Parts: sequence; structure tokens; C-alpha cells
Amino acid sequence: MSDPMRIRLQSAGGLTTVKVLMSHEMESGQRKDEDGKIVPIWNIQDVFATLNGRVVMSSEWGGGVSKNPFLQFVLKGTKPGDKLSITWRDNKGDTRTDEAVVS
Amino acid sequence: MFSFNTPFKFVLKHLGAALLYAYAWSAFAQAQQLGVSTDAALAQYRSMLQDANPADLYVAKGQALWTKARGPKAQSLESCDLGLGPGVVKGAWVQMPRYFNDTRRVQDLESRLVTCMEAIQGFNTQEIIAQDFSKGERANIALLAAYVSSESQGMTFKVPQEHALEREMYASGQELFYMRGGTHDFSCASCHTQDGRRIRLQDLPNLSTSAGAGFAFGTWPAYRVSMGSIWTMQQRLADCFRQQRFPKPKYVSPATVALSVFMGVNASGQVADAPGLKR
Amino acid sequence: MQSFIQKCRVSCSTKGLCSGLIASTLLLSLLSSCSWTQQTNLGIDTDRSVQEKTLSLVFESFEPKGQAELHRLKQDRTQQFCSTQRGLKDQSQLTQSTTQDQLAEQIRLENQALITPPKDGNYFGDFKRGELIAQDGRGKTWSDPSESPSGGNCYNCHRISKNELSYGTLGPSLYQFAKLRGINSAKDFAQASQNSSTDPLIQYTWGVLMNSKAYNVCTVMPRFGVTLNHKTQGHGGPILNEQQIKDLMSLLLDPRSPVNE
Repeated sequence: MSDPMRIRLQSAGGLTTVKVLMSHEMESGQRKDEDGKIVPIWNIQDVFATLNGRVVMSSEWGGGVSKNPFLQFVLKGTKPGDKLSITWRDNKGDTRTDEAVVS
Repeated sequence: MFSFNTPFKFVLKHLGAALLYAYAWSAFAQAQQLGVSTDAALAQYRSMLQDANPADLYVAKGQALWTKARGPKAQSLESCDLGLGPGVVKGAWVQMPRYFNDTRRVQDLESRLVTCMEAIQGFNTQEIIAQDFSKGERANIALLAAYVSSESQGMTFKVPQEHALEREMYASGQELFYMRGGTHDFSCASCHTQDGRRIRLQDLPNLSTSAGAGFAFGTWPAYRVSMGSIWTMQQRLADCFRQQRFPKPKYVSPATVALSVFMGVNASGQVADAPGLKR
Repeated sequence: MQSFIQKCRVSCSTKGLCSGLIASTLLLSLLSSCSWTQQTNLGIDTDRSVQEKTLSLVFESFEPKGQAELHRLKQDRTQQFCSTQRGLKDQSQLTQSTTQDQLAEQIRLENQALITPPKDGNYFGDFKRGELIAQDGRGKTWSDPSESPSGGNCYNCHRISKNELSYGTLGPSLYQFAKLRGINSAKDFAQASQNSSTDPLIQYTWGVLMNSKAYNVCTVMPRFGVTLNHKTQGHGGPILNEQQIKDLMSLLLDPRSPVNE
């Protein structure tokens, strides 16, 4: 069971800045452990956000994203009470969704 | 399998802290070229990083550890006395290090956590001391330290000097702070007694002043971006000594506690802001 | 522990062995703590009991790791003297300021005596290697193998070449070092190096790199080229060898070096 994301929303005049801190080890697949063996890839591959159930942002992440990723983006046309959900999925098939409400 | 039939499809590479890093770094580089001072550009870069401190993720883990029944005695740490009474966590950190009656010595946060982990939970102190940082129970202590320090967020330091041993430890801490030694003649003071200096691009707090000590003592434990983990004050001190070319300080040894007394007392009246965020 | 140390102090100052010993390991540890607390009256008269307590604290708090042996904490005269020079705050406590100055000068001269000229009389090397040495911060720590050479770690404290932005500010900028001091061309450089053994700039630069304490007795800058008292400290030789110092000389003084662009 993965750790919850921390989502912060800052809204003003129909624009909402979404800041998400995700908890994930994000192994690039290039790092070696103490015994010199490659630590296998384990990272988030897809992230998307929905507003009131409709997908408003989707992304595919390549390598090179660091541990505990921080994602920030701006949404236009939000109103108080809108429900935002963020979902990530990693290469092992794990997935996590967390939600926040626009104030 | 998700389908992405949306008007917004970003292929975002190098997101997260890496993107923030890259963006902030390019802003810094541009600022350099525009003639904006290095300090101003660095300050902007750091304030951007400050926006999302991964330490928050670890505070939650630390809190869970505090309340969980663990160790050979299967007890939680909820009866641990950090100086304000058993189980009182709020405000305890800004009054540490301090003298404790039961152990009859001055202890910093980590030393006290080890005491509680042995006395209440039955863990073995020598094993904890022999362990490496970021491993085993030492990794758990880092999480606990993140939690306990967060419960003093925004409060002012009032590290006590009432007990004679507390005052002795301050004096010894000061002595050690200025002690030149090793192959390179370094002391803590070599790097930490001037305002506005840096090693490479890393600012150095002036620990002999209230403001400098308050900043340094008040922001460790911290999430170290370069390490992807929480570093405690003990770990920071040990790595300083390594770079000073000194031999290794034993975990929670008296010398390390004395230095924390020195910094903590110097930090009196300054505001705590832990866990911090460091490069 | 305290009384042991005090007994040792008394007997050490009378040049006798510590008494009351049983096992040889106990003897060794007591002897080492003896030599640590052997104090001549150096520096400011900070409370003697505080100094003793601190030393015993240090003794029980540190352990050897890798190449960092415990005897690295045995201070030489320079380190002892400079440990008590704490800037303005303690200057007001100086009771014997003339003696302090005389002592500082004595120690400065001791450091100066350790400086030797290059064995082959050639003060210079390769500035490109010098830049690498200035960038390299490894060596002498407990996480460095003792066989591997050290770097100078110069960028930690100094601005040096034109394009390296990642520099520290603990020491003065060395950018345009030679240019600012009269070496502006290959001709100037050739002239100066022909008379290396008497040229003041070459002698000064060599001297500071070899042993900075010969010029400023309590400087933060390490003593890179000289072997400190290896009988008590065993630092395994100087931080930088003669060739490395020569390469740094070229980095600073050669007009073709990126420092003098």
C-alpha cells in the first residue's frame, strides 16, 4: 500500500495551481546497489488528473524523474467545489489515486 | 490500461524535483548572465524548492512509528519523556538538548530517542550505535526525529542552561567548536564563524551568532534532496567531521551532544523550522 | 577519569611516566591521554578545567575509521594556539597580548622553517593538471583509501579560473592571480621564473601553497605541502606532493592558465 500524495491547490480567479508531492522511490534502473548489481527500474510511468471525473491532464513520464516527485500545473476554468483527483501508475502495475477539492 | 483521449497530452520528462531543479537552475544561469547576483538567484532557486518539502512524507511515517507497538517489549513510544513529561511531544524539541534525571546526563533528541527505545521498547542501544546511518533502527530514528521536530515547528528555541551539567556541556561544546585538528587543521569554526560565506555554492551558517545557529539548529533534521532521505543532526555532524578529516564521532556520543548544546543555546529565541529541506 | 588525567598531567610535566598502571593497553591509553593534556600555556587562559573536560569528552567520543586514526586529534603547537584565537569576542580576554604576539611569531617561524624549495629547482608544472587538482576534493577522509592521492579542494574556498561558477568564498578570489601581480605576458613569466629562487611572487606563492601558516599563522587554509609532526600525528605525508604543488603554481602564475584569462 503506497503512501498518500500530498496535494495543494491554490485558486484565484478561475485559475488553480495544483501542486502534488508523490511518495515513490523512482528507481531509474541505472543505479547500482552496494554489491554492484543494477537496482531494477521501479518508477511512475503515467500520471493523469481529472476534474469532476473528466481528464484534464495526462502525462507519460520517461526516466530521469527523481525520487518523491513534485508535480505542478495550472488548470483554467475551475470553480470552488470542483473535485480534483490525481492518479499515478508505475511499471509494476501499482497505482494510486488521491483527491482534493478546489476551494 | 488507461486511454488518453484528451486535448491536453504532455509528454513530461524530467518532472518532479528534477524539473524544478532544471528550471530553477536555468533561471539561475540566466540570472547569472543578466548580472543578477548569485545570492539572489540562489535564493530564488531555494524558495522554489521549498514549495514542496518531501520531508512531509517522512513526518507522517515518523508519527506512525511513535504510536506503533514495536521492539522486543512490543510497546509504543507514547510514554517516552522528551523533557516535558511522558508522551509530551509538542514543544519538546525546542528545549533539547537538556539534562534528564533518569539518565543523569545531558541528551539531545537522538540520544533521548535511543534511551526510550531501549527502556520502553527493549531495543539494544549498542546495536543501534554500531549501525550505519539510514539503516535499520537508525533509519527509524531519522523518521522519529522528523516527526518530533515537526511538533515544534514555528516555536522558539529555549534550550535550558539551568543544570550545572547543561552549562558544562555548553562550555565543552564551545571548546570543541573551536578546536583545530586533523590533517587539514580544520575546526567547526573554520567554516562556521563568518557571515555570508559559502563552500562552493553551499551557504555556511555562522553558528557563533544567534541567527546562524537558529537557522542551522532549527532546520536539521532535514530532507536531503541529494540523498533522497532524512538526515538528522547527528548525521550532519558526522559528515562534517569526515570532511574535516577527523576520526569518526560515535553515535550520540557526549562530544556530539555538547556541540548541539552549543548550537541550541546560541539559537535561543530563534524560530524552529524543522524538518528542513537541504540540497 | 578526571583524577587520572590530573595525575598524568603532573607526572608528565615532570617528565616521568604515569604511575599506577596495570595492563599494557591501559598504559597506552593513559599515555595517549597524558600527552593530550600536556599543556604548555598556549593562547588565551581559557578555564583549564574546561579544556581538560573537553579533551576527555573528545577522547571517549571519537573512534578511528578508515585512515582517520585517533591521533589526528593530537594537536600540534599551531593547532593548539589557533584553537584559542576566537576573534573579537575573546580578544577582550587577552591578558598578555604582547606574549600572544611573540608566541604567534614563534609558531609562524616554525611553520616557515618547514618550507623547502623544489628538489630540481623548477617551480612549475602543468596548469591543466593544476585545474584538476583544484577541482578535486578527495583525500585524507575516512572514506578515502589511504593510497589514493588527495586533491587540493581549492574551489571549496576560492574563485580560481574564469569560467568555473561553482566556487566558495571562504578565501579570497584567485582569479587573475598573476595578472594582478605584474605577470602579464609570456615574457614577464619567463623573466620571473628565470630567477625563481629570488622572485618574491614565486617565493610567496610557493610558500603559501606549501605552508600557509608561515604567512598567516591561524589561517583556515590547510598546510598542503609539508609533513606535519608525523611522530604524533602520522598523517601519512603531506596533503599534496611536490608535483601537485608545481601544477598549482602554473595554474596561478602561468599567463596561459585559465586563471589569467
